[in-house]
Amino acid sequence: MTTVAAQLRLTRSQAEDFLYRQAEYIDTRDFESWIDLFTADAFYWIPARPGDTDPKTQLSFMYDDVPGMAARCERLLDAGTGGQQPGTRCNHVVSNVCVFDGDADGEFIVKSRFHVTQFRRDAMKTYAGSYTHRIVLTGSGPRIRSQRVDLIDCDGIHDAILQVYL
Amino acid sequence: MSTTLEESLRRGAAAELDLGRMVESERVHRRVFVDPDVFELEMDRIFGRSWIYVGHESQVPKAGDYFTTQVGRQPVVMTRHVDGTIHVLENRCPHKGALVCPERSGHAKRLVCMYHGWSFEGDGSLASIPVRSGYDNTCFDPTNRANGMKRLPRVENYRGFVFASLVADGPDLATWAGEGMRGFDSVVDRSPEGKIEVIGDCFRTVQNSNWKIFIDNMSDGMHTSFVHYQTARAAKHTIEKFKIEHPGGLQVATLLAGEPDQMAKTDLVAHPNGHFDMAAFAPEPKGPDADKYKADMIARHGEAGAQAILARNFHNAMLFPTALMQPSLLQLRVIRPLAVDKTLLEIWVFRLKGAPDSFTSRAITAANIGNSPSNLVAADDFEAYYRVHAGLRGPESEWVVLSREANRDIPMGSSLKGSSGNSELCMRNMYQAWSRYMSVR
Repeated sequence: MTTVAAQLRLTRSQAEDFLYRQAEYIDTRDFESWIDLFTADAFYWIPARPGDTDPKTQLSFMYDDVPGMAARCERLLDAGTGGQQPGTRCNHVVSNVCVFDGDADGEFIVKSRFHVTQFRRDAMKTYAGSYTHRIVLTGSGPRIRSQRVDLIDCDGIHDAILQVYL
Repeated sequence: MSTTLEESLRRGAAAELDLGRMVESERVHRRVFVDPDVFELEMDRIFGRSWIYVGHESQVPKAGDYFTTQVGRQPVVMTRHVDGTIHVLENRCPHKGALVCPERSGHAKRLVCMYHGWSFEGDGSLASIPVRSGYDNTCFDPTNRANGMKRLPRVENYRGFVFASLVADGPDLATWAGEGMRGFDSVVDRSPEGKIEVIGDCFRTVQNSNWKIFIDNMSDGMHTSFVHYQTARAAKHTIEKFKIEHPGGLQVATLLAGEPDQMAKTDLVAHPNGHFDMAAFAPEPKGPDADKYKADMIARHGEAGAQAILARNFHNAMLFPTALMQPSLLQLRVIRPLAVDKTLLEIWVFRLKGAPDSFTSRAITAANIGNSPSNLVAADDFEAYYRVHAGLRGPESEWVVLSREANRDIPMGSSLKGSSGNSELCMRNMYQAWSRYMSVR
């Protein structure tokens, strides 16, 4: 049987629109809409070392399932959270978007590069790296099955705790 | 008008710092935390003399493996020599002083300096120098193997934990650690094979605050319900909303926000030389894996022996000034002060050899949530440390108050137990030790 999804395409410009929307949700602190871009069984992963392959047996910056994302975002939006007094401001630039067919039926791999600047208490911090999104097309548009975030300095020394999703 | 300590300190040169007056029985002077001259003296008198944690032997499993870090200000490299012995060397070429091992960890048949090609064995001895004739009739003997990378004066491997000291004199590691070693023993004893190993590389995070502010927090039962309240509440909401039966990391997040009445029930014990430990409060794992683990432990140690090991568990166990073990989470946080207001942590996670994989997964999840560079527990602790350090920069008020539950400690051999888990006993005990280290010229 050929699924409907297998006949669909995800063009580069559709993928770009989707990634820009995801970035915009973070930059405007609309975390609820951000989480809605993921499928219920999705995960968001920032490996702690370049080339890591298994978040179940290797340490990670973040390895969040959807409930984990919900908890992290609730903490961010809670006015009493000490680490968010003052809050973190973010600015995403996403680029170099390429779309590939995924392994699973109807799945697309979208690779891109990002440059995220965060500002908190008089200090600017830059995060740079690449995204690998596994995206599936659903009735309500593209949804993320998994997002891998490779930071170029993931195994470096970090003098600020990354609190907001990249 | 009487002269305040602040005024006399302001007039005093670094060498004449009135260290003895900076620590009282229930108060510590703000300069202990924020004065760069005090920090420099700490590097000499504490980090330059005490036993400093270097690494775990599983970081260098094979001959030729090395791992680089620092002992106080000194860059060092821990190596595994061809004969299997572990050495801690100054990471410095005896020629021009260049770092010999440039990577954080690696493997090399011989350690070779990139600058002029001098090479060294894993135990530091000098292997070869190019164009050796250049040293004929000079002060330097290129054939003397002792002219290699210098070994630290004292190195001890205690059940896999490697410590070193920059001075030759002083008590041996076990004597110095005393009862403070029980947290480290506990982790190794909990392995069904009596062995542990590191999982991958460590996390490295920097706190923009003095190193002792961090250690103070490790015995601070009173902070949890304030600092971690929001994260714990978010985790609880999520567990309910998604009806999660096996919450894993989120459950850890809820446990780290104990209310004062809960934390009061936690045993807090201060040991000589500034060491201390806090009993574990996270529940032991349950289910088939936990049952099998228990059976394996009984097979190895007998019913009573296994019972004794499992009954003893710690949340934090501090060997002052560098090694903070978290036996119940299988984590070790190593303190590497960089400057008076910058503290590097190496966060290592261990696998109990022979224990179920689910124990390791739990440790990994707890580390990701609690201590990674994007954690959601210590993120709020770091904020508290920053605010303490920033507040103490102001000279107008001088003292930090450590009076909570003073004068009601319970003697336990050479150690002292807090009257409750909310006591500031371990902090008071640590600054007494600090004061003793710092007063020896």
